[in-house]
Amino acid sequence: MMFVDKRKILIGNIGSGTTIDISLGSNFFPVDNSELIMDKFVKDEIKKSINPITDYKKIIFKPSDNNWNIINKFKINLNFYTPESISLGSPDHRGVGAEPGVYSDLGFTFDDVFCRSSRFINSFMRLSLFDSPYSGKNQLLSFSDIYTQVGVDQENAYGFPLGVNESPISLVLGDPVLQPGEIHEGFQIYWFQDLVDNAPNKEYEMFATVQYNNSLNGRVYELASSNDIDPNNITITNLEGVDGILYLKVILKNDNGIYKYKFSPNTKQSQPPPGVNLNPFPLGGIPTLTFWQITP
Amino acid sequence: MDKTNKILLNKTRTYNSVNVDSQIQFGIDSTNKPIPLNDISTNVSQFTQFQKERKESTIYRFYGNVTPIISNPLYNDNIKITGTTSSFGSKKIFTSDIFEKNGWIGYYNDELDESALQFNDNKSALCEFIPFDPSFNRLKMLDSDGIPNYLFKVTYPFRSKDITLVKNNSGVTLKDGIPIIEKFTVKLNGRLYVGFKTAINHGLADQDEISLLNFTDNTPNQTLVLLKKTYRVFKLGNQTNDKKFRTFLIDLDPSYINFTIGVSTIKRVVQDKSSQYYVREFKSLTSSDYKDYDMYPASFGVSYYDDKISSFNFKKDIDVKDLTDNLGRPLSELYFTTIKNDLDADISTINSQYWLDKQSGLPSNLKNRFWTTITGGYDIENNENINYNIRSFGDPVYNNNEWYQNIDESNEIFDGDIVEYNENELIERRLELTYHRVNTIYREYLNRIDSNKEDKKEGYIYKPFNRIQIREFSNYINPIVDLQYVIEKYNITNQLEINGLKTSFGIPDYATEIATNVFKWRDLLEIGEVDITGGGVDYPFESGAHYINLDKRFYLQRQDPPCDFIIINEEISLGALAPSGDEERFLTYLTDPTFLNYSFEDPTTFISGGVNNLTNYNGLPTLDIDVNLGDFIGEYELGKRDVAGGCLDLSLLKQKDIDDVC
Repeated sequence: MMFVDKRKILIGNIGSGTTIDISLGSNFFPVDNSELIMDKFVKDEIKKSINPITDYKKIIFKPSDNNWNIINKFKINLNFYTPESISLGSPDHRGVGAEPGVYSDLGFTFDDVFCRSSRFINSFMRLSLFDSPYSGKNQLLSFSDIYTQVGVDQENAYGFPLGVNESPISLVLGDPVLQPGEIHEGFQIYWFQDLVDNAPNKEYEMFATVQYNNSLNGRVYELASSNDIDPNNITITNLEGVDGILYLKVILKNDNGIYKYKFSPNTKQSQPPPGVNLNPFPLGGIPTLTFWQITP
Repeated sequence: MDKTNKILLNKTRTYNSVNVDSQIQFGIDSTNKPIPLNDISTNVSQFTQFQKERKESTIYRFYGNVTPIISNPLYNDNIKITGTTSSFGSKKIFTSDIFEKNGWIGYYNDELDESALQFNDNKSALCEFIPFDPSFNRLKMLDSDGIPNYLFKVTYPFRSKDITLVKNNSGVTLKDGIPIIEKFTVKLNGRLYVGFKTAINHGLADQDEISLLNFTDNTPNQTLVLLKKTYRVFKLGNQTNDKKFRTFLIDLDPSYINFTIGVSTIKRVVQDKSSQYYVREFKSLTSSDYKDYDMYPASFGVSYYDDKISSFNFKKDIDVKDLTDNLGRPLSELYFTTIKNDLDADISTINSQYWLDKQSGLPSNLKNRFWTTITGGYDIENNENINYNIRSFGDPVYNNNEWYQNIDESNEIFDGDIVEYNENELIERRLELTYHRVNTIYREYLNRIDSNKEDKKEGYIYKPFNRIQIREFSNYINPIVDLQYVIEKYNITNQLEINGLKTSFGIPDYATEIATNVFKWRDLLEIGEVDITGGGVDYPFESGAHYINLDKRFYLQRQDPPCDFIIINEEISLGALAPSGDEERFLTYLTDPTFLNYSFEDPTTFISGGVNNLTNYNGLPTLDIDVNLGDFIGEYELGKRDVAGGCLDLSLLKQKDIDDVC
């Protein structure tokens, strides 16, 4: 041990509680730290300034029922206010159950359906996915456009189109491998794998809304997965939030290496007639989503 | 000053205390550093950062397409399976009703399916083509039953092994060189040259240097000096310039030298260094549970033969960090591997149940399978002494030979290709690709299922391993680094210091030590780096991973397509006095896929007015008929062949018509 400055304290000079000042002089002068700066400081700062690598890898999520069993196809029913009820001033949906409306509700004619007129086949349903169920602050994550179909539901036993008064507004979506004859757009969700892998329980939430774009009149209809709607008394609290009817929760899940999603309705969306019926009874029926028009 | 310390002298503590000298230690810590007076600024290169991240990443993501060429010429039986899962039967499809559509063999539905009778519904249409089993649902790359027919894996060569390629009693194996199986003579410009045929591809080029091992020197004074001397390959190919990959000539009089099959071998020699020959084994980097990738139809993608192209995307990232190949080098290649699986169809369907019922008498390890386990081998020369000939599997002559057997899609390790490696070239060269062979259990054991029929041993073969070049070694060898010179010059004995020297000289771990502390190696080129000869790889780097698009083909081919045929003539008598069984034989022939035609031995005996029922000749005494059947002949004895190979010239079977005469 080396003492730079050694002092003796004489007893006679010291009383009780004496304070001693010890001066410490520095006899070296830092000339330059440039090497340290360039080797460490700059590198550290560069490292801090570089964004971490973001993984943009998207993968396929397949739809599943309430029990997380993957389904091969599902149907979307769209139910609009009937023109008759609107003209009477008391807008009402067609039927009382979870059922589709008919194409005459939207103003289409038989010729539109039979001839697949442009205004008919260019009408489409948009399924949008948001990050939260609040319109004021949510962000659109992705959307799928599902175009009007004339499938088995819209044809009689001989393959002839039904009349518009009985032709249901339903869209069937199927797996591209297992249901090659069905429409595949909108069936699968493509999303970031790492977001789901790193989510709590490996479950990631999104919120879906549905709009129908009618090429006949250029109108965009908002729909919800519940018919618990009073068209004359629509409030934002009825529509928005996790308990509102507008946003349908979608859960994306990594189920032990199998990536899937399911629609997860809230109480209002579950109450009869349910907007989400992924486990139809009797067994073997096609899982169905039903959306009802909100505003006339 | 931040801190004030008070020091109390001893005399202040007790009345009899005295002061003594005290020493106080001060710890002086500096918590900050002088700040430079000027601003510090630096440029960050986006490109450099990209290259850095790209270089550091060992993660690979694979996606792409597989173009399949698949059909079912080796079907179980020409039958239509009918009924329900609890009560099923079959109906023989007559030869005249067997059709080929895009390579698939089957029939056109002849009965309306009343329960499915719907307009625009193909299932109810009379024109629906239905292939015999194995059908679309078991063979196509993608089908709508949701049960995969093949398993994709990513594998890499992780170790090597030795095999006995040609049977012998001298313990000669592949490591001893490429076996010679035939000697021949070629005459060129009036001069005789000795030629040799090898069991597998020899990998030689004109003027290559080779050593001839275990040959017989027939010269009186052993002037060939085979043990010490190497010889130049004069030319590849035989007298007709064919078979260049398996034959070569040496400028020696054919009478001077002889060979012993299974014992005589050759090795390529490069600058006095003989090549090594071995089999690489591949290890899987992915699982067998079909979860590591998605498969889906490629949009509008069909092959020339109308096979739908399948797209795939590996969800699992492949990390090659710290992985080394069979030579201890960082991985430069991975393999996109396709394995045929057994559980490829819904077992509850009528068709599945029908075949299980047929096989119910077989041993338990067979009766519940549809496909045999996989056999591995190579497409090599036809010689009964040669092991691992994939095309010969099932031929009784080859029964005692060896193959890689009992391969299953769940295996983690697979036997792979035969390669050559020469330490003076520092590069592996593939000589033979691996093939896998499968057959249906029904065909393979048909004789045990129905003693009146013979086994149909011809199976399907395919190449399971497709190379993915993830890195490339430089096309030139790094100059030799002689560390021993430095070590001796400075008398370095500490191994740590020697290791440090290796690092400072940039000697990689995988460098070959050709002498003590003397190294040579090929640089492994960075991704995006191209050497002066054009070597190197470049592919996208995104999200911290390397993305490699794979565009691969998968060809499920016949093991031994018959390229020859003979016509078999069977005489049959029909009618009241005909031998019993002839009528049944006649009907059987009519449903045999190789049935060609029948004719009346003596047309003048044919009664006037036609025949209502030919099978019993209207109950009249006797009608003699000649039935012609084709017998398709392959290279190997693999049992009855129902369908001719594409190599067979079927025009020879054409009937003569009026156009041929006039």
